[in-house]
Amino acid sequence: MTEHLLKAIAGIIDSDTISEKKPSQVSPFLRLAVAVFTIILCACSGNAVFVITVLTVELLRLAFLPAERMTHVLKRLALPVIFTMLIMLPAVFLGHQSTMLTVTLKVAESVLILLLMNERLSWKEVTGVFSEIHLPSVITMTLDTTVRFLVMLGRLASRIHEAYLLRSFGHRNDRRRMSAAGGILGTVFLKSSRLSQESFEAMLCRGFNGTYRRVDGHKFSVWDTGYLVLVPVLVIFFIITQRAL
Amino acid sequence: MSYIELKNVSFNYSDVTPALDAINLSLEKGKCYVLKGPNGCGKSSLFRILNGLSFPDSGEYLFNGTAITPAYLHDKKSAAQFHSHIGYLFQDPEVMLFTGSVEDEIAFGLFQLGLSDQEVHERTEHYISALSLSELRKRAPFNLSGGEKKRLALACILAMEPEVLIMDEPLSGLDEDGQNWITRALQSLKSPERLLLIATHNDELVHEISDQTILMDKYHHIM
Repeated sequence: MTEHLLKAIAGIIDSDTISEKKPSQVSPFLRLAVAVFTIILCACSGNAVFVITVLTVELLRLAFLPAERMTHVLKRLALPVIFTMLIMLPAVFLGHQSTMLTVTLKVAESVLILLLMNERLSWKEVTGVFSEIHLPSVITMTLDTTVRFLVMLGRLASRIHEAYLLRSFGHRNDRRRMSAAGGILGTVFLKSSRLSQESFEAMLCRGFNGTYRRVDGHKFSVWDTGYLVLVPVLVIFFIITQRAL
Repeated sequence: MSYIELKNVSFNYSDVTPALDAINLSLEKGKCYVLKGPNGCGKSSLFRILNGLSFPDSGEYLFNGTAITPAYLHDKKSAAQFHSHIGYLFQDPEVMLFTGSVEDEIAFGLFQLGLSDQEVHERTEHYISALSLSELRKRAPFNLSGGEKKRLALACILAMEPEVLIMDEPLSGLDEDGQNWITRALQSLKSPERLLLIATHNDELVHEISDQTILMDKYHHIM
């Protein structure tokens, strides 16, 4: 039980969501906007050619990732695709095979777009986009703080667990282990409460008045222009495929 | 003339445990004070009061002639004014670092000061370079090493260019190189326009930078 709990916590710490990535060459805002726009177009498309073409391009992009990352993305893609197929299975028995295929393809394409975006964008770039589109700063601050707390408290729990293991070798008492897990969670909870209080005080000492902004780090580049060109291409292709229906 | 003055200040966390007992202290600009005393003697409590995080149960705290009271700091304008003059380096720099990247962390305090984007950019760049943080600028602060976190925390408060710098154990948790680096940085911070107040157990640091040593005893008095 304790091991599973700690493994789960370690999983959060090591997850891609909070790991450091090389800063994106393309503006994170553009990446996010084009991704969302493509997903919307695919969802609206009545022609499978459009969805299949986009999916093919996304698979091509996937093929350029290192093998380890590719496996990672495919593993995460498998679950929603299989789940959709199961949900849509009754449609096959009712004689709507194409509906099942279209919906599954659309889900696969949407999830793949998001997974590929996650491969290139770090969590701070995503929260930076929220700041760029002028979402209330409290949202960005809450997200940033949550990630930071996950990492710090995850590390703390991991250290306490290691200390517990070093002092309890040879004991296989499940009840004692359960109690240790409770102790770790309790300590982490108390620490999180103290940490949040101290962080708030540190913010006050730096004159916090509710402003939470980012330094504008991204300058418009050739890569951005290339990415922008994608938008009219997508729209034209969408219109052509819809007219062909 | 005293820039910071404590008159007969007492402070308790509860009725049972006194943290500060009738403290009288007068600090002037242009000097570096080192505060020494055993663990639990009230150094951190004293720093909390000086930074307006706690308030005396009795006695008075004057900052540049102004009494610092809960009512005074309740006013946002007064609080902003007060905090722009005083920088506090926490003992654990981890609690000070909450943004997504090193450059955002330094810029955070500057945005609070209401500086223009251009000025924020210039000061951020200056302090990134001055504290050798260029290679770390895009990294998340919580992924830095202890020494790097300390350097970043120092950059954050220095960028705000306060007249008073209060530091709680600036050398704790650092290796020898880190300690030497911080000691040199503190020496360079001494100026006639700045007041430095540093709590430390490190005698070498006291010897290197102190103009005046303030000693606290285990009974929460200044000796």
